[in-house]
Amino acid sequence: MSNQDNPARKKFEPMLSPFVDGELTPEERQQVEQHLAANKESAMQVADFRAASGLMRLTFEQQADAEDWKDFSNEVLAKLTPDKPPLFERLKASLAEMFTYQRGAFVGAMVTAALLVTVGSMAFLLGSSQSTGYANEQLKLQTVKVDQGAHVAPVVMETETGDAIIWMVNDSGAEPDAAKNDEKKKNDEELDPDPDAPSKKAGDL
Amino acid sequence: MALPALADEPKVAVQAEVVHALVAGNTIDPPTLKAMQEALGKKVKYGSLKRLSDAKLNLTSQPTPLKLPNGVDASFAVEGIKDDVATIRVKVPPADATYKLGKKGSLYVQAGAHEGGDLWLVLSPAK
Repeated sequence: MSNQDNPARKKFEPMLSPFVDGELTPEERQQVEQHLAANKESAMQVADFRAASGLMRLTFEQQADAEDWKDFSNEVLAKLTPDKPPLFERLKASLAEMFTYQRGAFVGAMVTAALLVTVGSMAFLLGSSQSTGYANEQLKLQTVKVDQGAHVAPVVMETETGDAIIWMVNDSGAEPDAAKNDEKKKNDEELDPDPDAPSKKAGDL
Repeated sequence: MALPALADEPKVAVQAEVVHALVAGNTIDPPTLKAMQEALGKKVKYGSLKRLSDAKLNLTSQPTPLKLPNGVDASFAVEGIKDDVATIRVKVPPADATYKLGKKGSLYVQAGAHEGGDLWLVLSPAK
């Protein structure tokens, strides 16, 4: 009996292959199953489809088993390498990704970097200002005077290490309190011209 | 509006220590004052040196006052800066001194009597 003689078979025949492949809706599948139960010719055709499908699957599986897949991933990745984009493109893409997906962290990092640069610059400037006025290698005493009417006189001493010491000596010759010696000087007199003298009377040095 | 002139005025930093010195005793506090003991030792052998204060002063042309424990009012000012060498004026009544700063060396100024000994003002390059 041909399709022309059986309208039901004519209707369901196009649905048999999708039925075997599982491509029908549950409703269509139910209708096809009812048709197959009533129509032997269609049922045999479905059996043929299933057999052909199983045979094809088996064939492909055998072909796949025959292949060596050991380096498949490496070979695929190796083929991608020659298409590596230029550095600028990769950086641009990387930044775009960062700004899109990690915006918070990206902005935070930028702000932190800016702050570090600012703090570093300020520390450098402050450090520079601390050294203002220190171009000379060694301290140098210029002048020492005392107020008019004071009963003490300054005596200057310089050490080998470059220190300068200003002692206050009583007019009577005795140094105040702990410091006692026999030097007796007057205010604002010229210093002792002898550079090897251990102590000098102060004035304009 | 013009900024005040002081805003552009350079500041010169110095370290100012106030030290109490006694002939009696055998205490150097802190031990870094050993150098001071040796420097003064050519004239007076101080047995005890005790640092009473240590401050970093940022000096300008305006006098910076410093009240000493014995009541003496010391003051410091920048007299001028030439070729990055600062001249500092130090007043420790009745003494009045000027000196040029250098990377090395300290200025010791006897600042009067204090509690049975002497008070010393030590000016060094800022730390």
